[in-house]
Amino acid sequence: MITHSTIEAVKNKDNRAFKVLYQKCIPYVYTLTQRHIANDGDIQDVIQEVFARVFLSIKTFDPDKGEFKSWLRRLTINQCYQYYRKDRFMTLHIELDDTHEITDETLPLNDLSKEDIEKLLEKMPDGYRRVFLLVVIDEFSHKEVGDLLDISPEASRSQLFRAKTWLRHHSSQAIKTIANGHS
Amino acid sequence: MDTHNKNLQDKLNSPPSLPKKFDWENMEEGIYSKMETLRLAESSNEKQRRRLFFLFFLLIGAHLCVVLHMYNNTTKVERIENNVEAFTLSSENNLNSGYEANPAKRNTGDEDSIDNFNQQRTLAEETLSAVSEPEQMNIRYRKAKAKNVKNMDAVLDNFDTQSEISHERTAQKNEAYSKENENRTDIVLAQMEEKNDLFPLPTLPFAHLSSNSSELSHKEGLILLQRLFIETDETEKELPFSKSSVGLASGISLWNLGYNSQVPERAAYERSLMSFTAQLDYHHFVSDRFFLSTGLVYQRLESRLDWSKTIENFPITLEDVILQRQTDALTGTIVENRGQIVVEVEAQRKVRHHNQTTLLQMPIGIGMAKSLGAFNWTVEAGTSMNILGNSQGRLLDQGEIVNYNGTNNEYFQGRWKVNGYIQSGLDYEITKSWRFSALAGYQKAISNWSLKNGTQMRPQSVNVLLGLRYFIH
Repeated sequence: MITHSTIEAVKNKDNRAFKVLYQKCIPYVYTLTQRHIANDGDIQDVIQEVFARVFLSIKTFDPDKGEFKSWLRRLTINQCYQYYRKDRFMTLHIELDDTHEITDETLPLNDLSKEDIEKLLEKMPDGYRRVFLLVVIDEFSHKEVGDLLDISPEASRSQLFRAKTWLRHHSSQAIKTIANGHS
Repeated sequence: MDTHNKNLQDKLNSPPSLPKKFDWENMEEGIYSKMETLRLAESSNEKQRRRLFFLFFLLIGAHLCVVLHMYNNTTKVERIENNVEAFTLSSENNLNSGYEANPAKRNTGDEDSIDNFNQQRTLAEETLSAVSEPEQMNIRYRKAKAKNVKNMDAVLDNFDTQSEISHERTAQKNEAYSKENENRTDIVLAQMEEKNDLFPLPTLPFAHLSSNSSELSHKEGLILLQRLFIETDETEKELPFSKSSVGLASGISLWNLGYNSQVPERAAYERSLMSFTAQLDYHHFVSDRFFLSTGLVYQRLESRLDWSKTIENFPITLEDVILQRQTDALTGTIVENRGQIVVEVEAQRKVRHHNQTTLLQMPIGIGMAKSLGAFNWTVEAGTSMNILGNSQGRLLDQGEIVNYNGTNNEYFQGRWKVNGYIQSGLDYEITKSWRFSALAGYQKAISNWSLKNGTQMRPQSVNVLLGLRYFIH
């Protein structure tokens, strides 16, 4: 994705390298930010902050410790939640609906398109969605999620379990709707 | 599941169509502006870190300087005293006697006597250079030394050839002066006046040397001067110490609950916070270096309980819920019966509470002080007793959060407990009576605070305090 020479040039504060790095990374950073920031109007501000931090702190990136993409992902997500902490009070909702004991089986999302999954995730309660995205999509551990959202790892596990239950229930309905639409 | 997640990740991470506003040209200015803001914030943080770092090392440096100065001073005094002892008056007297008895002996070149004399002279010069003179004498001495350093050997040689004349003259004068006033230091003063170019110190008080005046040479004068300087040094060291002093200081305490290996439930959820300490102390000097210390110490130790638990069947009451809906078959009117219902839900209980323990201690200790110019370094150790101890807060006991308060609870007690402490301080003189004071100390409870079987709780703290000290003269 990003060559070693580009990273070295950014470390040396080369303005042209800033542009190259930005153009290569912006689709991924945009995807991540869009996923974690609900308000579209704030995305631009957060992305500017992310790249400002990338350019300033790229000297701390060590290629021996991991990929640049992982480093960028963590920095972006941290910045998204930093933004929440700075400007607004973040709350996690706990739904009062009944839950059923389910096994940790595959979620029926493969039949849905990206847009359908995104629509489904938009409908998901905030607390569920955040934990689900961080753990399943962004590969954060429950401890990391706990630190990021200021909840305990146990609460993170519990939220993920509920998020999956919610998804299973609602994705089945979505699949039925899509199937009916096709027929 | 992993493959499934991977598919989901790929699907959600596929590149979106990027709006025009995210082009580099539209974002560039905002990014650089944010970089500038971040740089300023970082530089401000860095400055603060450097300031703290500098202050920390300044304190350590000041302590080291004091200790080194003390060490150097001791070794210098020891070296001077050793040299003075080596250059005894008896050997010098023998040398002089030899000249008096047979002045021609030196002129004819008695090698042993000349070597001996040269060795003694070198030793005297070395000793002289090692002496720490009082400033007022030092200036005059330096002038004389600078003026005469080129002719030092010549003058010393002349001095020896003149010594016989000088002794004769001084003997005559001594006889005359002794009739007038036995306490005057005639001979030495006469010698000094004669050797004014070399060593212009005619006003020094040599009254106590008058009895040996006829025996004293110029070099003896130097040696005795050294002794005078040493004595003056010692006297100066004693001056800053008064009989007693009172200090008032306050600052921060970093502490912990001090559990042993068997910790209670609360230990996992309770974290100590930076706390406050203030102390009023009294030092009574039993000698110029040692003092007894007592006073009052106020400590407010703070901790935070941070605990959460998932409750499976948490009952909640829902108000104004439709319980029944009836439709009138004739009119079609719908009648709703409303009421409240209780449902059980899964909830998370989160408890965050600041706990506080207030202590009033009375310390008793013994300490040592060392004064060096404007600085005064102290170190003391002793024990203190918590004469008051009030606690209030919440803790975890058998899975439940319980409140505690007062001077005594069923979990721990801080009152009437004994602590051991050690404290070091550095005072800086503002006026003769007032000093600015910086203290660093460590304290650990000797008594067990815990009232639960098998659990040991011995809080310990590191205190850093700043304040003022008043010396009572």
